[in-house]
Amino acid sequence: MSHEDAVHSWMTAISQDGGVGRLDDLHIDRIDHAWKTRELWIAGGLEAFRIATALRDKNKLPAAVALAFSLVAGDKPLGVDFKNTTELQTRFDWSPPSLYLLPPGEKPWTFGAPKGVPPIEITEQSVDSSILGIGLTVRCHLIEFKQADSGEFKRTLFLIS
Amino acid sequence: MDKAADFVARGKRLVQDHPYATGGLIVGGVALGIWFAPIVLGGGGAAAVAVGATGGEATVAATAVSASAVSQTAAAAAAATMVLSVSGDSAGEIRSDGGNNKDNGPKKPAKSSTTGNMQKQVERNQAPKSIERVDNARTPYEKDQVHFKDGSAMNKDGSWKHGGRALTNAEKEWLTKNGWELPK
Repeated sequence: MSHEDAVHSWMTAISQDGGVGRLDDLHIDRIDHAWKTRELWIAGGLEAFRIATALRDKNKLPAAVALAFSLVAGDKPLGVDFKNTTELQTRFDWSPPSLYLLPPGEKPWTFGAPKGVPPIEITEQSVDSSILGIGLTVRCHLIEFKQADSGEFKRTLFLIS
Repeated sequence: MDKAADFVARGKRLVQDHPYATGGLIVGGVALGIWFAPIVLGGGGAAAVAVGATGGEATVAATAVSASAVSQTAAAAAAATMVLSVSGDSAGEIRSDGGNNKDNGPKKPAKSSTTGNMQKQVERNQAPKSIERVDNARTPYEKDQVHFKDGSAMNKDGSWKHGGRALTNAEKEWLTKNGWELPK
């Protein structure tokens, strides 16, 4: 299966089976097994993101595409503690990046918030997307949050288009 | 009137009004014990005084007196916050631990492991072989999730993120041991 076919298949499936609401993501090693290698997470993630946005545009799908890099969690928010891809790579945790599809206008860090439940402590910072060598049309955000059942601040770098 | 004498008098008045009072003299002794114990022995000493009291009635009195002592000193406040768990009528069944005994009160569910800890178990082959990875939630309203080698993924609350199947006994045992819920 080509990269395009793998991403298209995932987009079609979650658009039809409620996967968007379940935040059903696609890890890049499911697109290409070679992308399981940590050193390829940035290149593979950006390629998967490019394919997903191209398919979205081609099919006029009313959705936002996001690419998420999971960074090592900590006991406090650390902010943007990387200046280039080399430093960013050392912050990755053990899980390959993944694609998300969201309803238009939704942000990954607020989407799915249940009504009547106290908000989770979240910090969000814009990140200069040139760190990843990508254009200004892509928004780049670092979010750090602590969930009720966790003592850790989880950290995710999102690219959104 | 000095502080200690005033405190004993207040203790006597308080306990005389209490329906379970057994006598001002005993209660006065308990009150003095609580007053001085933190000075001599610290918070643990206050707990020991309560255990030494004779009978459930004296324990009730000690609790009442220590409540009145809250406004006296910070040390007395420490005595007032100690945990008194009465599970029967005899002194032998009175348990007092100064709030340090985690066994008191209702049992809590097993504390859940962090995803990092679970992932280490996977990497050290201490998890079922069918488990590929344990991932952190990437968005605030997503759950931590376990990824199986067959491509399915289950959230920490037992719901399926993608795919879904019956779990093996080994998977159930490992997930439960780490504080995760199972599919309903």
